Amino acid sequence: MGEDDRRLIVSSLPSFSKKKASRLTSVVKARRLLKDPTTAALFLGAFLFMVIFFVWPLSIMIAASVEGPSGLSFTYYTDFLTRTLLVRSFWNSLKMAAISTASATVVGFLFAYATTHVDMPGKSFFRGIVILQLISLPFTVGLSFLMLFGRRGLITYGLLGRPFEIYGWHGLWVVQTLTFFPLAYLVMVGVLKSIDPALEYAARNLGAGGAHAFRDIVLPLSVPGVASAALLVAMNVLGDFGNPALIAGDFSVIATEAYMQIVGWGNFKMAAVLCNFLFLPVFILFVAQKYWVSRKFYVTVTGAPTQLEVRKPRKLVKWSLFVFCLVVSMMIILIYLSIALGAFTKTWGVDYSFTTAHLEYVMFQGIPAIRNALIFSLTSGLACAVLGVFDAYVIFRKNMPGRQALDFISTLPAAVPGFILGIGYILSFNTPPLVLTATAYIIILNNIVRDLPTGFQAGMAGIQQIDLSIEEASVNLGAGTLQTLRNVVVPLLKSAFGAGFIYAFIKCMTTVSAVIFLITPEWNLPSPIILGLAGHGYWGQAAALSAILLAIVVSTLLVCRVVAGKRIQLFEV
Amino acid sequence: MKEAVYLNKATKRFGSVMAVDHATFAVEDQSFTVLLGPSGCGKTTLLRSIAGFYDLDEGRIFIKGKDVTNVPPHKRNTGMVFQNYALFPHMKVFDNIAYGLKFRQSPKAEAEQRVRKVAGMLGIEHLLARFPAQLSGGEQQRVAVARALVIEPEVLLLDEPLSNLDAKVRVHVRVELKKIQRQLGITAIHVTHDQEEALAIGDKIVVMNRGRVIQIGAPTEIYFKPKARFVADFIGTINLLKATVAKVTEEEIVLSLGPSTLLLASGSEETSVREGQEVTLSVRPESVQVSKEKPAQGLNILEGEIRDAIFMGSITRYFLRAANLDLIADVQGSDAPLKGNIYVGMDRSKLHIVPEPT
Repeated sequence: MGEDDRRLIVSSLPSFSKKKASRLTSVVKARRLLKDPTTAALFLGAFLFMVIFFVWPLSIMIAASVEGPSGLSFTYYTDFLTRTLLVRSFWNSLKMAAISTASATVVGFLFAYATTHVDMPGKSFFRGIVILQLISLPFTVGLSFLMLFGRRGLITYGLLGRPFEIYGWHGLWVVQTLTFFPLAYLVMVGVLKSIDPALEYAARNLGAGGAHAFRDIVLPLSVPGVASAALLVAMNVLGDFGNPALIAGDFSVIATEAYMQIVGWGNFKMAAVLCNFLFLPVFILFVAQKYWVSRKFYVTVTGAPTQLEVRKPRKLVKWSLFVFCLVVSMMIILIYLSIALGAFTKTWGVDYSFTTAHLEYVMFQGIPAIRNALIFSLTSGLACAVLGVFDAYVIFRKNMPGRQALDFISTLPAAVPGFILGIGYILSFNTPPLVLTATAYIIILNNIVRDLPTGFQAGMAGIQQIDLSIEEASVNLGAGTLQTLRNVVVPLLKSAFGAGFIYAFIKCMTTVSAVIFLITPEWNLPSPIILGLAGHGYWGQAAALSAILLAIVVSTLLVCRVVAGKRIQLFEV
Repeated sequence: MKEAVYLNKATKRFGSVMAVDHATFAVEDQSFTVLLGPSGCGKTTLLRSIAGFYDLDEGRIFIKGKDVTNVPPHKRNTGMVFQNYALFPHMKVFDNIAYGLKFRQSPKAEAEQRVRKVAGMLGIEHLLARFPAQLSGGEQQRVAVARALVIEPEVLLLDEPLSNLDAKVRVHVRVELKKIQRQLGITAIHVTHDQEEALAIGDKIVVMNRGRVIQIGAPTEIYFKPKARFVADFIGTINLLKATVAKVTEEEIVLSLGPSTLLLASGSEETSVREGQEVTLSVRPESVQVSKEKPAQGLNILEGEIRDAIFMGSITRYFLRAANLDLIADVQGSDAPLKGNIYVGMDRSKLHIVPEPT
């Protein structure tokens, strides 16, 4: 009876009991932290790393824009507002992001719908095309468009014989659409796949026609996926540097202007201002994607998983989609053909005779850069995989105070445009306490931070496949956190490690904008070299080096497929 | 009484939800105790708290007299069998079972001997070289039990381990589980929402609802003498009748239900009642006798009629109307079903007053 009385008292004082409860939980949490030092150490390690090599340089970059000779100053901002060219570049960036996002999302959706819900031939071919786009240099499309449709382009000048102006917003729009639709595809294909075909059958059974079933079932259920894909594409278009540098011409965007401010004028302050103007929209998109759209995903609640085949659409729909996918794929094949041809063509646009001179040139000149790229990509790929998996483990498995914050700073780097972080690195690591500029370490660390979200995502996917009770069983049988990690978690996450490593490796091999400010003659990398060559019209050399780089990346992927087979699932599209 | 596990005001909240609310009870050494209740009643939370997977917000947990409230789970020496078995998919059955011994410094030869012994006991010796994915559900379950038993735990914790097995295997396995528990003289705490399973397997049943312990008792006590309406309702089919206490004497309690009166043997009731008090009576369907002829004296006898009947195999269930009461009666045997007017007989010792919260 005494206990009942006590409960009555407590329940009549709700505010008191609530307060007490929350205080108790924090005490419990703190107690747990001390009880599990391994997790605490892992957690703190991951946290410190991200604070030092991500949060700090980013903050330095943001702070630099308001740091005058004597304290706080907004002169750089007022200066920015008076310079119409810079202000215009801001609007141009937003405009380009808006139209490219719309088109890339539509193309990505049609591709995703066609390969998941339509029984058409050549699906694996289309998937292959998308994967090729995902793993190649981010400015491949820009480079080949110059070669095909530029002032001396093979198609516009050579075949059609008319001058054509590829430079400008329209050219960039097409290039960005072709570059980023695979990203949208990758997000939406997962969502479309998870729509149970039985739902469509149910709609049909209730009397809905094919178009209705699509409009009423498939489309609404894929809305969160579409939104998520669109936000992802928008972030990437905003932060893209390579394609605008090659194609934009007079249509200046923030990324290229910021680069000019540093390389042309050495004006880091104005570059920081520009970066902040870009960082703000990107940050908003990131938060929207992470905390708003991702919560809206429908969880398909069904009984047993169905093995139904997707409903076949009408012939007209099927073949129009097929033709659409085929045309887009042909465009992309044309892009890679032009790169391959360009590598063996004497002077593209003028003299189309065969030569191996470019290949020899880049073999000679490019080998150190490729060696560097391999070293950096191997080390940072490994680090990303390990750090990403441990990060995912402590965030999703251990109820640590501050796990939300770690989650946030472990996924944000994917959204932050590379050159912003690059500038942050220069500003932060060229003075004590930590001087890293002009070393290999600064590039490796930058790569690790930038690609950590990739490893983190792979780790997350792997951990979500391990039932929590398997770890609990290990603990229950007497294994501590470290022993459970070693005996159970790590062996089961082997394929997640593998996937994280391969993804990060590929991204490091082709990264441009992040490292463009960090490379030195000693530590040069192929992708900035290619961008430089292409920018100066050395298309043959640029194409040759691109082809070699692509060959390395593709063969890595193929070797991994052969060696690991089904154990490591890459680009499950 | 020796206690294997003792909970003192164990309390666990999830946000504002009281998952376990001041649970206080003892689990006897070498007993088979069942935590029973509907889903969300806190039984699994309580079990997991004993294993150490949840830290209590209040209260203490003792295992074999030792306060383990702040002992991390891997140092508690409880053997848990998980609902989905949680076998390590990358280890063979042998390594799965031997896993816990790795942390107990047992020499290799001895460990192997222990694994083989427990595997033999569960009849899975021939499976030791296989991977979990190559086993049937029932086999996996045995491996999970073997893995928990081999470490000789202070207490065996079973989290609905039978719920993933099909009905026939389930009945077979629960008999076996109980046999092994007796053989080894181990203390077991078993969580289930299946009341039939609880009655069949438990030495003692702890009925829980909304985080609270409602009743603790032997299966027959829980079944025939529910201490709360919730227990009566939750376990099996039961007739609940509203009545007024008319008279209380040494031997019997006289209850009036509208026009008719029922007699109760007063010695069998722990609850004291006053004359004039409103009470709820419970009587199980199998304690309600139905016959065409008037039964012998000594029973409460009512006249009534059969409204409906369902044939259920070994019994026939009758829905009756007698003295303005709706009653359910289960009658054994496969005789031709009764129809029309009948007599209803109820033994006075089978009637029970359910204490109502005042």
